[in-house]
Amino acid sequence: MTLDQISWPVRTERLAIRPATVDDLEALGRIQNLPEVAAWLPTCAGTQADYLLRMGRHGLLPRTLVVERDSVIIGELYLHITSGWAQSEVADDARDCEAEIGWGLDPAQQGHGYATEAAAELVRICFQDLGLRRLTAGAFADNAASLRIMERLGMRRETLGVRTTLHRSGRWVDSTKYAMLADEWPGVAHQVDAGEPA
Amino acid sequence: MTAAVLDRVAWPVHTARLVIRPATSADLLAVFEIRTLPEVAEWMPGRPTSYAEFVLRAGQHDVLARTLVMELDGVMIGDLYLHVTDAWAQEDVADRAGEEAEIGWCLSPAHQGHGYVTEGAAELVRICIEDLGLRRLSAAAFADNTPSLRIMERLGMRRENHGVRDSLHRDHGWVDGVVYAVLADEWRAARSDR
Repeated sequence: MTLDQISWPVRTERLAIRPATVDDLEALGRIQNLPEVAAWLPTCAGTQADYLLRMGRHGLLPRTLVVERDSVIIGELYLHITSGWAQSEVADDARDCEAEIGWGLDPAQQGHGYATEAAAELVRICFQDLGLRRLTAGAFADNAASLRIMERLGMRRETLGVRTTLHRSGRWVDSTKYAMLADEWPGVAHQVDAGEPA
Repeated sequence: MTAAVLDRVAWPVHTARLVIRPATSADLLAVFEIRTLPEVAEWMPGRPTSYAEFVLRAGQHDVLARTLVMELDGVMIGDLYLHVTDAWAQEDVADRAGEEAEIGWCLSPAHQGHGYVTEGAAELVRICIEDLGLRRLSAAAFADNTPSLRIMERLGMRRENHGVRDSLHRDHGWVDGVVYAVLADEWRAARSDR
């Protein structure tokens, strides 16, 4: 199944998830431009125009899903389908078989497990609906809240990069990457505890 | 940014036994002949099927700009890979982040067992840090490519990544990959301890 064959919105217990459209960008940009959100993003807090320019420059709209609660946008999910690394003779067999995933929640909505609930559903969509074989997620090593979500999802830490990344504070900081293979995924039978604060 | 990165070094560079210089199109046949050997192709990113295909791919991926050759007594015995990229940074400080590089190596099996590749790769690390002013170097390999991992460790690199079944091998299927890295200040500190 491809992304556009999924019947959107996908609903979880409390949330609805669907691909973002241009009309969602004002709400999503408002969240990303909050300093406490931008602290952990590759980007910086700026104007709405800066946000839209960046989305356009990097082609990010097709990789963005919105997360709604009671029809209000409370956050977003990132889904970037990529090819796996392969020796060139077998590169076709690795095409579009993995994805990098991510999430961002309006700080006003934190503490209810929404990010975990949405991210767990994204993992299910990736493995069950899209048939991907591997998921990765990257973060600053100090972004404890995000790392906790990765661990709750069942992802393993694969990378700890020492002072790989220049933070706007001027410090070189560590980065991490987590991953999970489809055959490691506990599946829908395993309910992620979404009750804990994210 | 990195187009003329190799122009920043005074070539050739001499080590105790080797001469290192940027590859030219005249080196590609010798590189091709090494790459087609089964024991080399086992761990390399590709196994060329013909010289034309190899050179075509080299053009597509700008290979000459990223390849140095190692010579022993005037004979090309292997090559070194040097791909300079921007360091990772939050976008508002990206212009202060400088550069880093991925490095690699490939030695003719006929010349293995004499420490040539360690000698060449160690010099490559020195060139990257002292001559090019890079702040971080990384190197990737299949996790089962023990000889290459030993070289990374000898160079003072640390394992930063172990990817579980993240790399598709033409014969072995999905197998593990690793990434090693070293920071310039780690390399300098290790060097002054010697």
